[in-house]
Amino acid sequence: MGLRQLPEFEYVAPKEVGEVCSLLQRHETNAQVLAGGTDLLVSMKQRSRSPRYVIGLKQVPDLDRLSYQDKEALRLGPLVTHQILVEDPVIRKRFGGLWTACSKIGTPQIRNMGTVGGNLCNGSPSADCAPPLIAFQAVVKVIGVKGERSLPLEEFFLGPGKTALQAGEILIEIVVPCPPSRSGLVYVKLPARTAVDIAAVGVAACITLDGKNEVCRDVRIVMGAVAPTPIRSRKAEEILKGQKARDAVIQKAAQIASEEARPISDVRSSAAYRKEMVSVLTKQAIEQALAQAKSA
Amino acid sequence: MSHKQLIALRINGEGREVAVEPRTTLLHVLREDLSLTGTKESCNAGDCGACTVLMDGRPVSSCLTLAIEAQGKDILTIEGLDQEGRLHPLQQAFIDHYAVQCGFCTPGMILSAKALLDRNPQPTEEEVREAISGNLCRCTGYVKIVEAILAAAHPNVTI
Repeated sequence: MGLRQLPEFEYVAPKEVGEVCSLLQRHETNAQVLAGGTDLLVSMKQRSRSPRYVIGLKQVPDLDRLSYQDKEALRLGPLVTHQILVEDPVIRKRFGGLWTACSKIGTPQIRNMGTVGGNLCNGSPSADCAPPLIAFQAVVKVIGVKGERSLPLEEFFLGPGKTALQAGEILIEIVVPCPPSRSGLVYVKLPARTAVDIAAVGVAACITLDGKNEVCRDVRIVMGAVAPTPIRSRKAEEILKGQKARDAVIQKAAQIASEEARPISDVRSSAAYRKEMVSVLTKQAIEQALAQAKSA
Repeated sequence: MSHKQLIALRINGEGREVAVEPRTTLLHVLREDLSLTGTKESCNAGDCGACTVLMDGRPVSSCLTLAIEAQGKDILTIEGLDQEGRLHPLQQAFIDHYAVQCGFCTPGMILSAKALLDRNPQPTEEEVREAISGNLCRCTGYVKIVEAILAAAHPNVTI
């Protein structure tokens, strides 16, 4: 396979966020932040990234905090690892799709090291955490030398490997609003292998049902790995909104989602197979989200 | 540009000081500086699990861990498992159940298994398979490995 040793670099571990931002600002494209290392160090070994300065985040206090209070938003610091979420029964119960995504990333080893923040900031179109978080309407807080700003996660991804982070900025918090009652949130991942693989296709569905009847009040369907960024399938959502989700309606929504996907062919999958699998996974995600919503 | 700095690591309960560059991985330090060659280098990219060590009780890929960032953590390698020359029950179970062929995946497998049993002493077969899902084995087909781990967990049950 020929992966070489890491290239030479300078390592700095600031003790506060301001210093991280000013280092990034000063060194621009010559610097990268290091969270879990499961993406950055691999790409450095492959020489697709060779920052002269690696800025470790682990000495900055509190970046791995996770807080959730009933009926309030879930707040994740950028260094919260996937495993921290996997081991949290509240996350599993209340934020099911996010839990699923984190539990299927990489390997147990990667889940102990890799962070949700890093998964997003790496900007891969197949980032598993992205579809469920976008379906949850998550907001990301970003901080730079000029201060803090917030943006919907849906606007965070600009292209493969490209996020809305500007020079000198880092992700400082992920805020996930509390799902309304009678909601189901599901993420379905199709990897090329049974484990240890990136999603060939990923679909998240978040459905909120209306009061006592089974009309879909709110629907968000988000697809990963089938476009340059994670994308919503708004047309599929429109099919379901305001409807009772009978089989024919679900089937139609799944079909529309498949038409909205614009995947490429690569080592994991052909574009045609991905398109086909979008409809299969969307149907599964919608059905599972409905079941969850009905029993919520 | 890169100069070495002295770092203090805690490996198998012992304090060890090594001089490392920023780019030196924990895997490299273990094998090259500390001669603890039980931890293996294989894919070097976090995919195969051969480099697995336990860090504060959790399995991690040492090929993707900077030695500098391993300071302040308790690192357990396969060499740290035996107790005064007596094999750990997992090691014995791997032998008893023929779970070792070439042996290259074995240190990482055993450490992943140990991390599981320390948290979940009575795992199901599915939980065992999940726990070793980050450790690839090219020889055994995994069946004997799973049997060995279950046997170590449920010593009174005939596998």
